[in-house]
Amino acid sequence: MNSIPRKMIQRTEHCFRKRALVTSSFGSCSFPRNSLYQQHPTCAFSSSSSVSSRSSNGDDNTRSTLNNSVSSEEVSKFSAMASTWWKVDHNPLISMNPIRMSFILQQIANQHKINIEHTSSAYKPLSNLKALDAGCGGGLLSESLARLGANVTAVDPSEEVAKAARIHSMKQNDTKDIDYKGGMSVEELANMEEYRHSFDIVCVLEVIEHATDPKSLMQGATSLLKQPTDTHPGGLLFVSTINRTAKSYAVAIVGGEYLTQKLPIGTHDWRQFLSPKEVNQLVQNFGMEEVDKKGMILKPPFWDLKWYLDSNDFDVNWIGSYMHK
Amino acid sequence: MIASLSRKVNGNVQTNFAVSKYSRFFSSSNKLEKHFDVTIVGGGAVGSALANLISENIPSLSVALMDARTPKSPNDAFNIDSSSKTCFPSPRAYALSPKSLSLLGDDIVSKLDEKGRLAYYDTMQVWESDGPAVLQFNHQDIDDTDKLNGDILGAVVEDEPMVSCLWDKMKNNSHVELISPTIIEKINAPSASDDESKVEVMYKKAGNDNAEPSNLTTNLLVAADGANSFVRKSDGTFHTVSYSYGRTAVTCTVEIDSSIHKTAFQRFQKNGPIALLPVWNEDSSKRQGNCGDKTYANIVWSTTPEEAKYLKSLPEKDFVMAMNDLLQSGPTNTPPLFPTELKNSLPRPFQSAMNGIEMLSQSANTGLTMSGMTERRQGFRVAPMITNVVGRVFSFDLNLMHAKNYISNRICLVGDAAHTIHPMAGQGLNLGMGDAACLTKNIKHVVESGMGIDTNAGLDYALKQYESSRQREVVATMGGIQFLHGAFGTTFSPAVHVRSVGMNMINSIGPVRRKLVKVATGIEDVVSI
Repeated sequence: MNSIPRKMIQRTEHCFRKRALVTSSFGSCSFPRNSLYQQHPTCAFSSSSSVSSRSSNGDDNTRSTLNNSVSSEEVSKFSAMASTWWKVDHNPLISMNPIRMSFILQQIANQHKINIEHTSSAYKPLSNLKALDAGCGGGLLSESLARLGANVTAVDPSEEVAKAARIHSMKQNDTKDIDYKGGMSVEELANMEEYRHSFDIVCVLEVIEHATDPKSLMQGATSLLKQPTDTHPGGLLFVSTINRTAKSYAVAIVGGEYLTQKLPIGTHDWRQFLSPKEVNQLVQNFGMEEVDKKGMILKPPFWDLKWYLDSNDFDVNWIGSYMHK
Repeated sequence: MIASLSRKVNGNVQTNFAVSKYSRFFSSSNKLEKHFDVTIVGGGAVGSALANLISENIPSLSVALMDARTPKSPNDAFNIDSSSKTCFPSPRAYALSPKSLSLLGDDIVSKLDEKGRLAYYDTMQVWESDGPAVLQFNHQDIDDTDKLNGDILGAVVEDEPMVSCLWDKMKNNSHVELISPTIIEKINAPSASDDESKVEVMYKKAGNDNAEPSNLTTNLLVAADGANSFVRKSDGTFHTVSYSYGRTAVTCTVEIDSSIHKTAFQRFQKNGPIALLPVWNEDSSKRQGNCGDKTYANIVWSTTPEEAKYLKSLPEKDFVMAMNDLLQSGPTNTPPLFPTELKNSLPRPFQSAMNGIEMLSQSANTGLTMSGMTERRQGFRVAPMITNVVGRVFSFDLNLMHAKNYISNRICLVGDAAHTIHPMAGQGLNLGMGDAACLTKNIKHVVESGMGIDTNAGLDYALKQYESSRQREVVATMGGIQFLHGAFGTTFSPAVHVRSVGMNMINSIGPVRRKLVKVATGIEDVVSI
């Protein structure tokens, strides 16, 4: 916490309080204002890489080491959530993780022609692949990739978050070698010669909607991917986010934050959501194209939080894979 | 050195295990402690099926199966070696749906079938004792695309041969360690806040008071140890609700005079249903040893405890007669809708109105019965005559029990440890097999997405999905059975009329009937791995 100015934290609390008043107009869903983010510390923490905020004017100079697509207000918000990252009830991303991973595995199996059948006594389908988790948060995705055999590097703009993630992953043999880089943005990593064009897999999951400059984030992410050669098909980029539709406002903002309170209020700004088309246009600037995309949907009964991949419904959550043209 | 140590830890260690498999058990702590990803307590039908499902579908997990007894070898269970005693089917048998049969595995099913121990049935006939309704399902009600095991609705399998085949399969599987016979002394479950801790199990060899206790640790402890589950009770975090049906089941094996024609008969009467189920393949050429060439069936008769006591006290001849009495009679007319005294005490116009309603109900019912038979081109089947009882007559009280939670810190309940129901629909083991499949599927899902079951995040997610989908299924089944229990228990004549018409409508309306068959045979069950 000491790396984040007290003013920032106060500001975040103030922001939450303002929203709590809004919430109380929903009647039954009002709750104690002061304990807001202790009680509902959830959401997109595999993700806080390039975080932004509506009120980030002038905040950036407080963390001059970060690239300008990251705002420190959001960094402090996600840092405060660290204690409950690994609790299913508090983190909806845990329930989303299995289908994100199954999409990633399927895409890699198609591209690298590897067998992802679970037949032997060690299940390591991603062995020999280098993966980057951009905006690793508590390390949920990083650990999953590492367990499946990948050599994982993880970056997060928050030092604290990365430290907590490192402590968590040290407990297990499969995940203790993850290279966590706290206080670093994707763009900064992309500026380091040894990482440029070195990854088989780059994951930017539930991150882009928090970035002030999605284009700069995508530029950084794509320049970290291996380039295609005669023997290597090139790296795969994975992006997942929320579409900007009326339905996503109803589901992700009204439903997720206000009604069910599965996410803390203020987690998402609807205006920063991106459609599959917009992301595709973004990455096309850097010589990439879409390979496949899937909607991620919840089916009733919704309280089970059981996610499914869907080929047609991209209205709310979706995930896409991209490779060099 | 390591190999010899491991033998000391557990006298049951098999020498063909690779030494390297053990080395990791000793790497983390000083104590001689083994670690398994999944440990299953209770090697009955559900527990051993679960162990096989996990090791086949998720080979990266290590599995231990613990039981107080070691089942017979398949040869003994099939009476192949025992030459002296004559043998006959055991009444301890289950009706397995096609779905459960496929979960058991093709190899086990064909092994049981080769020895004549699978009694397939392709027709189910349900009829009532005080009305004309007959409900008849057959394999034609199942779409071809849904057929899992040919033209069948299910099969009756005895407990012992099935369990011994499942254990035999695990003996040759290096992913599963069988720990039996053993007694569990203590289970230490981690607290909810404890992130990466494991369940500790202290156990020792059964039948030897001086045996050295051993320890093992596990990421997930599965209680498959039956309705009186030791694991569930000793943990203390599981809460159950129970309800006595006030009924006792009387069960035995009987010899019948003619073929049962692959039909499962069930007749409802006031106190509960009596079922006559095929057991053993009628083709006696498959039988080995001294297993004869007679035709057998199993009786499951649920009734009041008083009547059950009376039935058990009857001489065999009278007991057989009582069973035949119930099973040989066909559907009857519905009782008068209004009591005659009531009718006679009312003025004439009311009397004729009541007569009219009664006639309407009767003819609607009869009409439905006829149309059902016309549509099906299949009439009422008469059950074969029972000639005598073989073996003992058993009885047990019927209780409904349901655990409010199936999961608790790294412990989960499956099968009878989580729920027991009335046997009238033959769904007890099918629900247990559904549990095993659902648990396997959810664990596989988190393991393959790299979350693993050693962290709370992965395991909790898998267990929560398991609990919510199974509780929905189990409660729905319980509700359906409770409805039948109530509907057939009534003698209130308007209710009898409604029931009779309802049953008849189900029977004669194809889509409704086919839907019911799907549910009853487990095709509709969403669980597939």
